[in-house]
Amino acid sequence: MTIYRSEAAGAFPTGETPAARPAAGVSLGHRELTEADHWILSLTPAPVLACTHLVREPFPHVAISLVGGPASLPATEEPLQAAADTAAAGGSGRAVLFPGVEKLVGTLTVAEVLASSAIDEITVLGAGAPDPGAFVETGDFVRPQFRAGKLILTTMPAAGDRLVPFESRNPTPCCATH
Amino acid sequence: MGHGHDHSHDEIGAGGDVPPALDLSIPDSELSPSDVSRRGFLRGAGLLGAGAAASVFAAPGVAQASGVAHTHGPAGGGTAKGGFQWLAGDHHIHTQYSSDAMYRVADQAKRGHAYGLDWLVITDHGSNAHAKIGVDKVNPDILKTRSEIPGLLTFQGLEWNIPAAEHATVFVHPGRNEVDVLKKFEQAYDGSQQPATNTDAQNEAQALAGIKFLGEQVRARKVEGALFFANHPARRGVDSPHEVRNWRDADPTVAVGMEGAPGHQAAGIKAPNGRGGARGYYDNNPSAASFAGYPLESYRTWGGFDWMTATVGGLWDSLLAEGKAWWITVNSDSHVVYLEGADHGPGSDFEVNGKYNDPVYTGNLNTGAGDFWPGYYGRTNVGASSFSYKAVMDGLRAGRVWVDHGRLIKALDARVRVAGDRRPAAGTPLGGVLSVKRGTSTELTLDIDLQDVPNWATFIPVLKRVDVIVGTVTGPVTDKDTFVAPNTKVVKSFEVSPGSKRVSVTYSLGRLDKPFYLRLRGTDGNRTQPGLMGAAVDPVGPKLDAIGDADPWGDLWFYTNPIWVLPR
Repeated sequence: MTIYRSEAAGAFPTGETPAARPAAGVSLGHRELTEADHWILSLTPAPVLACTHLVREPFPHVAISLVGGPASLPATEEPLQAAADTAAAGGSGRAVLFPGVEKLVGTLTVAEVLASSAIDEITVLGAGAPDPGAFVETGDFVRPQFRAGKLILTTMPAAGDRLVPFESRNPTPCCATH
Repeated sequence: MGHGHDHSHDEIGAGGDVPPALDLSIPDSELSPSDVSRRGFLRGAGLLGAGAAASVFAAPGVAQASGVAHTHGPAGGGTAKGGFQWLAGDHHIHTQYSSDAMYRVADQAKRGHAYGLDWLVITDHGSNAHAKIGVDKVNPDILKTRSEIPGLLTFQGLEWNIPAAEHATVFVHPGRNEVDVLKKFEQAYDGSQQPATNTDAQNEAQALAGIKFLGEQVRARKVEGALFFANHPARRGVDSPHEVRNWRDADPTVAVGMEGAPGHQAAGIKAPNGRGGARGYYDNNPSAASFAGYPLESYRTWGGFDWMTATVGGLWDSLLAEGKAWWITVNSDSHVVYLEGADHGPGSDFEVNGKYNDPVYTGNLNTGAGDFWPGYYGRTNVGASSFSYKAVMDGLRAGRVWVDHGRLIKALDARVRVAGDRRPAAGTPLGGVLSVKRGTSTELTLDIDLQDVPNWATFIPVLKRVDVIVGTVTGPVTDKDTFVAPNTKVVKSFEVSPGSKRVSVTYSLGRLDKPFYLRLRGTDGNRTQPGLMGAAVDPVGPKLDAIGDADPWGDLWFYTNPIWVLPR
């Protein structure tokens, strides 16, 4: 149904055929990624693939696409339906849940991340491809993004010759008062 | 009209339906005495004619001679010549009147002065508590500082939550209405005071109205000057290119620039001795409020500088290539200082009092703090005609500004001249526009006094390389969200010989064919990589700062503002 799900299918566990399963789009008007992540991670059963999508209309918020997960989902209110449809159509989603995400904890090599999860590629910001033996400190928080149908984890150089995911769990808030 | 395009005139110097004092088509001799006085005031404040920052094509015929579309406004960048006294400053400093800071005004001002600053701006966060209480209460502290430290120019400002965008420094010339103007501005235009139901478009419009309000206060003689600088512009991706352009165009005598480098430069010092975070606290990722076109690279610092400035051929260059006067600065953004031992005073109630009680010494050195004292690390050096509040504001508005980290160099004098003209009083300084006949040869003369005294980290920085960056001026863009300048690149690099005391170079800019600008950059050479637009554009640019391992003293750069050369 969408490019990225069929592309990611190759990395899914044997027996899973997510490409054959339709994606659901949901928009609950979450303003922040953390709110959307929290909602996704509360779902039972957990979706096979869950992505966030940044949308501007009717106001800046985070829409969600899901493959698998609960049989019934909360209804999207009408003004947000277009955002939910955009999310369902895929595109540049940021993956919160994806096959193998539970294995991406602690410090792993680039090769291990690629072998144990649906992540297709790891890049280093401003530098290109890392050495397969380079260490990635996951911080137990990995949010790769679909780009041109591939699930890509962007990383950055960090202390101790390690790489860390570009997105961190607790980025600095802009300030306390607004 | 004869311009062949739709546009609205600027409010000043544009003729038509404007007050006589503002209509430069009316000579002084035909004005009433009060209008003559008013015009003199406006001219003196840099708001009329030459000296006011706007499009560099403002002078009659310049746009036509340059072969680009005409943009209105006062002459951009100024037409001043010769040398200036350079006053170091910092326009982004917080005190106990900010909910996330703690020091007294005097704590910050005394440190800033001791660390070599000539001017600074107190910029506590816009907020409910600040708009109602803090903006008034901080003023006596500032007045006291002015009288106690006469060698330091202490401005009152605030850090504006720009509706729909990031933060900005806003400050005014001292005077009896300084608090009144700032307070009215904050209560009407701060992001914290806008209805939650506002749409993005409404908030963006409110930001522009705020900038216009400040310009009106100057023209109504409430204050002698008001300036705006966008702070940490790329940190969260929420300052879109069109917003930056719109702020500037809303009133180019007020909205004149942005931080080239953010403060919080200690935040990347390695743990456990430091915070082990991201330099500048640039560790965010795109949110729903971010401009979708910005790449992930824009959310991080490069050699301590913001991506908009650090990228040769990037967003800043795209404005300069338009002929838009838009200047860069560096600042401390000092809230809580690295290895300092104070904490909020006990019993504080910020919401009720609009401030924290005076800080108390704890004996615990704060290794988790990300900031330096004002003047300790970064400097914004302003070419001023005298030591005065007005001269600093004039120099900032004219873009006579260069910036450095860690005192990389001692002094810098860069001018563009008609080739061979070495008169000391000649030469177009930083921020200026040199208009010459097409075919005239021009050259850059650059004199840098290399550092010969230790910085505040006790070492004498060594300048390794200076880059000359040149871009063709191509006129206004059709897409206001443009953030690339494909014709801008490093055209020349000078290696500095070890042991030199001074760099004095002349670089020929050739016979003028197309309008262009140049700007300069220098480095200790410790951390470099090819620029984001490729090695052909910037072979040895600033390197991405590593998370948790960014020693600010081991990676020093200076940047200058541009000089334009246009055919007349």
